[in-house]
Amino acid sequence: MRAAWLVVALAACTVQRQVSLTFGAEGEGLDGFMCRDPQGQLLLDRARDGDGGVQAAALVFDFVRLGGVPGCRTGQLVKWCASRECRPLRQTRACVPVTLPVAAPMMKREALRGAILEALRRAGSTGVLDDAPDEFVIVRAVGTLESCEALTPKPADVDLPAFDSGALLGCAYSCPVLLDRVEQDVYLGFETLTAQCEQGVRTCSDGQLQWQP
Amino acid sequence: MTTPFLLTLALAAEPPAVVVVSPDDPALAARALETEGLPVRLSSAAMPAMAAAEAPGVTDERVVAARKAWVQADFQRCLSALADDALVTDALGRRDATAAARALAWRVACKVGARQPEGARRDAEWLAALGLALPPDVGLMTPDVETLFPAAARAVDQEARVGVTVESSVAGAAVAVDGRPGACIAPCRMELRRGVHVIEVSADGYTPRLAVAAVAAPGVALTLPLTPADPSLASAQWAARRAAGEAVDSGRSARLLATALRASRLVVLAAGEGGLVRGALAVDGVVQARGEREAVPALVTDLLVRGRVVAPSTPWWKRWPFWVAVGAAVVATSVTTGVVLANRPVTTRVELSP
Repeated sequence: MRAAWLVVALAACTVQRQVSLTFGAEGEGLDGFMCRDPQGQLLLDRARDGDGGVQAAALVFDFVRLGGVPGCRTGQLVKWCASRECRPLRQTRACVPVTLPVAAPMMKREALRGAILEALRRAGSTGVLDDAPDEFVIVRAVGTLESCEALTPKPADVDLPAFDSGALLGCAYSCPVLLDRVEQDVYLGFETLTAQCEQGVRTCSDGQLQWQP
Repeated sequence: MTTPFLLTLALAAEPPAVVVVSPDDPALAARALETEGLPVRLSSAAMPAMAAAEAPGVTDERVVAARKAWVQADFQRCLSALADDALVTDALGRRDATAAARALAWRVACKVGARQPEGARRDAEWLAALGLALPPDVGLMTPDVETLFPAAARAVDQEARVGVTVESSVAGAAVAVDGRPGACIAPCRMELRRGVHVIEVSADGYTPRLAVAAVAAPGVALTLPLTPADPSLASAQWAARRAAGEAVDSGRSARLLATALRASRLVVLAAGEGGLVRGALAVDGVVQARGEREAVPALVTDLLVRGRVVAPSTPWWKRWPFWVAVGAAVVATSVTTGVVLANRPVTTRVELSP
């Protein structure tokens, strides 16, 4: 009985918040899902199957512990994580099945952006995590052809299953953020100045955010 | 008389106080000793031995000797046996009026036999002035002796009485005249027949004072200061009062007990009605507080507090440590509340809203 009261009291004292992850109103943060490999092939096209259909994909969310509060630019993050342990928190991985579009021939970049955004919106608002970490993290969203089942850690797994770089479809990440305090939606994006940014996607999806040659 | 149980209550650096219980309930003393939490020491004390009874006076044996000499017509020996006026005044001091009257009557008889009519008349008049009843011995005397007494009484009655003023160092001291108590309460004035009288002033807790006064001219003034009684006399006075029905916790009883026990602080306990216990606290012989309770320790505490022997126990909510604790608790609660409110656990649900 006393324990029940304690739980009630603690619950009464707990602040309940909600934070939304967004790629921007126009999908501005979806650049990481429109990268091409060195051969100029869109990574999204990896989802195309031989029958002209589209394979199911997964959008995997990780909350990456940084051990501090680095700057937000890609270079700053990579430099920070080069000397520190930046590691996704094992118990926070969430996976959302999605079906991402493939690019039609001669499809313009903005149209593709809109199609991706539309595909994500069709999936609707999805709960990612019930209780965000009480520390500064970056939120990372990785699109992959691997299944959620394959990427969800088993109880015996010490580390999170790594992404297959050949199955990557895209990536986006947030600035370092303390989710318990942030007062706006958390914006996920991807910095790149060129469409050939497959290397950035690999770096973004790396287990330790290490630079990938 | 049963010696009462007495408890002495003593301060470390001050004279002890005494708790007295009624002789018929000694258990009250034991219960009083169980009183806890007082900054005083409770202890018991025994009642001091009472003063020895006054030795019988020599008057009676002298009277017997004088009577024997008178029967043998040895009037000189008769007179020498009774010559000393102190035989009369001592007997009066002992309030033995009969002995005093017999001594004077036989002295009258001896003087008549010795042909000292003037002396016989004076002694007869002294006997009349003292107002003592004629002893039965007079019936054994010769008629000429017998006739002297009524004549002397008539002569004394015709004389005007003389005013005598008696004062004492103790207000309210009782004055006895010629062995008769209740003459007046000092300071006072009374009318006495001319002659030698024995005036006694007495008060509880004091040694009685006797004076032999030759009352002749008007305006006789006697001042008889009293000295405090010693413990044994006080004990005897207390016993006499007690035998006369005085309540053990009365003011007079407490004063006498304080003297008898040399206790400047005295608590007297007595069984009351309905299972209650009565008590009185006397400080320096003066009752300062009275009370009646069911529990003896509570009664003792109450008496000592109300008698200002010990300071009243301050309620816990009036003590400064309590308020310091309250203040600390308020501060601690405020800080804790502030910290808790400032660090309330936050549960943030994250959802995807593309």
